[in-house]
Amino acid sequence: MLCEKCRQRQAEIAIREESGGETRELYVCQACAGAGGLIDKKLTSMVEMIFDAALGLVARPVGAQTAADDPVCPVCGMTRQAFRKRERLGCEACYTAFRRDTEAMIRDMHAGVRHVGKVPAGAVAARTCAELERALKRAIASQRFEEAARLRDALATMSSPGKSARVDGGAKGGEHAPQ
Amino acid sequence: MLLNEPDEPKATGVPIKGQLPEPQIIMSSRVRLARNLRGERFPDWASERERVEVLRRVGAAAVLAAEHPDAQVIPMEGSDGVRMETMRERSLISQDLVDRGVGAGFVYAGIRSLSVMINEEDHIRIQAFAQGLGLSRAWEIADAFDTRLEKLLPYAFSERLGYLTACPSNIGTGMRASVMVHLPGLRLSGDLDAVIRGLERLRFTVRGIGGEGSAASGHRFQISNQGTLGLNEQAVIASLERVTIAVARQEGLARKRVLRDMPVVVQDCVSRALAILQNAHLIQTDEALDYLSAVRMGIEMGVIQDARPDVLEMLELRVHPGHLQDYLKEELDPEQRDLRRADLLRESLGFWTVKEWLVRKARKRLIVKEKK
Repeated sequence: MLCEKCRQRQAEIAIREESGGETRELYVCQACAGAGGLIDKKLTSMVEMIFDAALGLVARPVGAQTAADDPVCPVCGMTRQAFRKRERLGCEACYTAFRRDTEAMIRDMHAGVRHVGKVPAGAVAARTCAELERALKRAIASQRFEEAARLRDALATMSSPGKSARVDGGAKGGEHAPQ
Repeated sequence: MLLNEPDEPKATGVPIKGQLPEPQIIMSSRVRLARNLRGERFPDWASERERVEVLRRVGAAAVLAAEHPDAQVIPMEGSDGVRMETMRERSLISQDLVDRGVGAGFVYAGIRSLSVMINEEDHIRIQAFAQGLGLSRAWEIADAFDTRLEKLLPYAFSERLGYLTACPSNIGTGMRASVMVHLPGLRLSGDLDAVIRGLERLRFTVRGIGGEGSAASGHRFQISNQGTLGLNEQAVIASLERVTIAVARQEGLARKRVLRDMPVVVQDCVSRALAILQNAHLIQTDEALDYLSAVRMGIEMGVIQDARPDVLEMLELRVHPGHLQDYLKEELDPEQRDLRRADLLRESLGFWTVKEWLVRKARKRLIVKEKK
């Protein structure tokens, strides 16, 4: 494809460019890339990877359209062919990108289909947040507002552990109690 | 410094005369946890630059999480070949890690029971070790370290699939628990194949270690869990512990049976092994390990005169290429190693013998026990 900036040379590099407060993703030639904009290394390598993978497939000519049955991971650029050859995925998003293949492998290899072991602390917090949110919605729907208030406070504590919502609106007394 | 620590003795050193050394049927245990960073390509797919950055990030975090003054990152790039070989022989790192080169490394947490590989098959591979049947202990060490590390780094984790790994065979717990067992008795009694089939039916993987690649020659085996998804860690560990104890019991019984029913076979097996080790002038690592395995059985059964289990343990480590060169303080090519290894074995085992009367005594010990 042609460089999106000069429209004269072949595009080889992907860059990210900010203009008017927006970030745009462009495919440009070497010369225009040097001129400005940040070369996003992830995009660059993703493009490289796709090209490499395409070139690596004997039957596939360069620039061939990827068919619907040959998905590509949008995050890391892994292709189904490459994955099958290497027997390893490219990144965590591949588990979604190649869902059919991975689900089949999981069924073959493992005793179960759902994780029941250790969970990292961050995930525990996330799980509890989601649960709290659902409980909050249900409480509001059934007009149990006191319970909803408690749940809302608990959620607030979780997202910013330093501050906790005050239950009482008034001054607690102490040195700066109003006269 | 850590890498120059003297060999840690496993057994009780020189045995008290008349007392049999404790048989080390279950030799060691290991728990490995695979983890990956969120938002980074897995090591095999990542570029060198990405790996170098991951090594820097994970290395720094792992050193902090180790909470040990001697913890440090050891990059594969520019590392000393012999030293890395020694580390590999102790299972602290793998050949894959060494081959990865730039952007790969490991963190040695200052205690021999823990090492963290970075950018091997996954970003992070935590490995904890323990002597004998120490799976629970190894799990505690690995789990505690993992919990500290996860506070410092964002892990790739899915509610449904658990810890996400480069190979789907490791997702879920990401845990591979394994034990190393020594089963010469079962081989001699002919029951080894049946035991291995039984383990495989229970969904355990059994791999022959140190032999000529196949289970047919070596006596040491690694038993490990297969699946990692849909099971919790404690259940897997408990299950592996149970089967290992059952296998060890079978091995003990097999040794007794073999001494009772075919003592000459035992005598022959151990004598031959000793004879080769005492006379060879060129010997390779795997061959040496096989014969040392038979000698170990001989010591544990009490058929070797003036046995020295501490010497045996030293040899079991030192016949490996890295340890050998490290001990001799010389870099040697394979042929030179075969020669020096044979020299070392002849020197160390020169006067060891299997005595007929010791074999009879071992049998008597057995028969008297059974009469009770």
